[in-house]
Amino acid sequence: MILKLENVEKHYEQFDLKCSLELQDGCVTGLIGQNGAGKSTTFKAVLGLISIDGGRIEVFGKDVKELSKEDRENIGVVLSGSGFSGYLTVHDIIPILSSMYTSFQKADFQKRCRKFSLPMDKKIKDFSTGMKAKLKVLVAMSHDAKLLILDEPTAGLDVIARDELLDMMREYMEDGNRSILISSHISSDLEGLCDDLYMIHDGSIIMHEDTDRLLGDYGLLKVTEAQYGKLDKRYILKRKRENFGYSCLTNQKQYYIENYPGIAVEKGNIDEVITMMIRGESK
Amino acid sequence: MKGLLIKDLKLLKNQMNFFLIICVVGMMLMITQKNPMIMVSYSTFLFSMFTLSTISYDEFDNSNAFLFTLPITRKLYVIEKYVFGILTALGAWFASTVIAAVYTALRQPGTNQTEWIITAAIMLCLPAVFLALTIPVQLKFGADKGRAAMIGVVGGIFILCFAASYVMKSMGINIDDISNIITNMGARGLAFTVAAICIAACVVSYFISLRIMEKKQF
Repeated sequence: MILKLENVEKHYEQFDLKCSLELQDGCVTGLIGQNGAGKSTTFKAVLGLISIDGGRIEVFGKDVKELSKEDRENIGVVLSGSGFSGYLTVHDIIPILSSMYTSFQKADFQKRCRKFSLPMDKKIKDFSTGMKAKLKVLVAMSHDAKLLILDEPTAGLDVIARDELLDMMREYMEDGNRSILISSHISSDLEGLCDDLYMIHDGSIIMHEDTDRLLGDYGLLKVTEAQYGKLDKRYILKRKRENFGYSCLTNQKQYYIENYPGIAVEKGNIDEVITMMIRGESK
Repeated sequence: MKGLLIKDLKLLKNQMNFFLIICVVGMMLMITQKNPMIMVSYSTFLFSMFTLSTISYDEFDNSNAFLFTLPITRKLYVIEKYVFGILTALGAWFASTVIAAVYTALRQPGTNQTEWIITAAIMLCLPAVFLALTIPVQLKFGADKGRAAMIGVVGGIFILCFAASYVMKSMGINIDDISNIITNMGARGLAFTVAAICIAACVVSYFISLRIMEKKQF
């Protein structure tokens, strides 16, 4: 296991994080949740940027506080709302990265910066939001890290740039020996990239599921009150009152398709699952 | 360490105009006042202030958080700030001393070069004490609050000195006796004492800064 959070706790005045999470070798794990749900706090805890009040965080099988310089070189990071000082240029950061990372791939980094049309001599603070986002991802991927920790890496990017970066991430994973922990508020980004997903709400993990199972087995049942009354509720996770009756989230879509041919069953997608898990009430 | 030093040097490029102004004003002071010491102390002191600017640049737009995801430790970051401060002050001192020595040799041929260069060397304690005082304050309070905090620190030092002199007076210790001791130390003794005080100030300051950084949450 490349990353493990075990009952990690962080308490603030108006927010408490209580989180357990695992990232397996060679996998892409997504962390999804609303703004303020605790995604960035979780990432900061993993990176040692904030102290934790309880639990344990292991990276590469070691306590996060005991990571060596070599271990840290094997982590590539994108943080939402933070990057290299805006007073530096891309030209400036190349020697910095060269000195800090033994595996920094200078030529490749420069090539990718050119490909994404990043100005080399312009101060980063004068970059557009999209340019800044691209640069952060390129930096994270520039030093052959085994673990990428990417907090909202595609925020602010247009569809085409997003696709390009997501392709780069898939390409990065082809090595087979790398792992990514990623958060995004754009669920389609995660659907096509992640092997499994954690859903976080109010600082707690409320769901963990394989992406294939989530997209294949989860579904929304649209039922009238009468239909709902007769429904086998063993596989209903949440329900939500609607004008027509109820929307019900299930993780056994096929069961209801086969046994209740009269009801409408919609294919699950991440957005709907999030909405139901957060807004829906227990059956 | 090398990566951090490169980063700070690259950040200094943003202050190029300020650099030039310091150099020009320093030389003008030396020429108009006919005193090489003025330029040495003025430029050494101002150059040492650039370390504080690099801390501000690091904090700009919450960049610090990302900085500490790089393969560096908080301890290394703190050490680098002191090393950078010492290097910029030494660099400025060396360059200004060379310029001043050339000026003195050309314009004031009779001047005893060794004498003023020794005094110039003692001037190095100025940026050392300045950095020892300001780096922890800047790290703790940041650029904006740091200025207000600095006024508080300087005020606090004055109050402390005043209180110390009052206590000494009430204990029957004469301040003139202390002045006499300093005078009787001789140049070498004074230089050693000053150096010891500077080193002690920097060491204490380093440990305070380290504690501040280790507690910092990003």
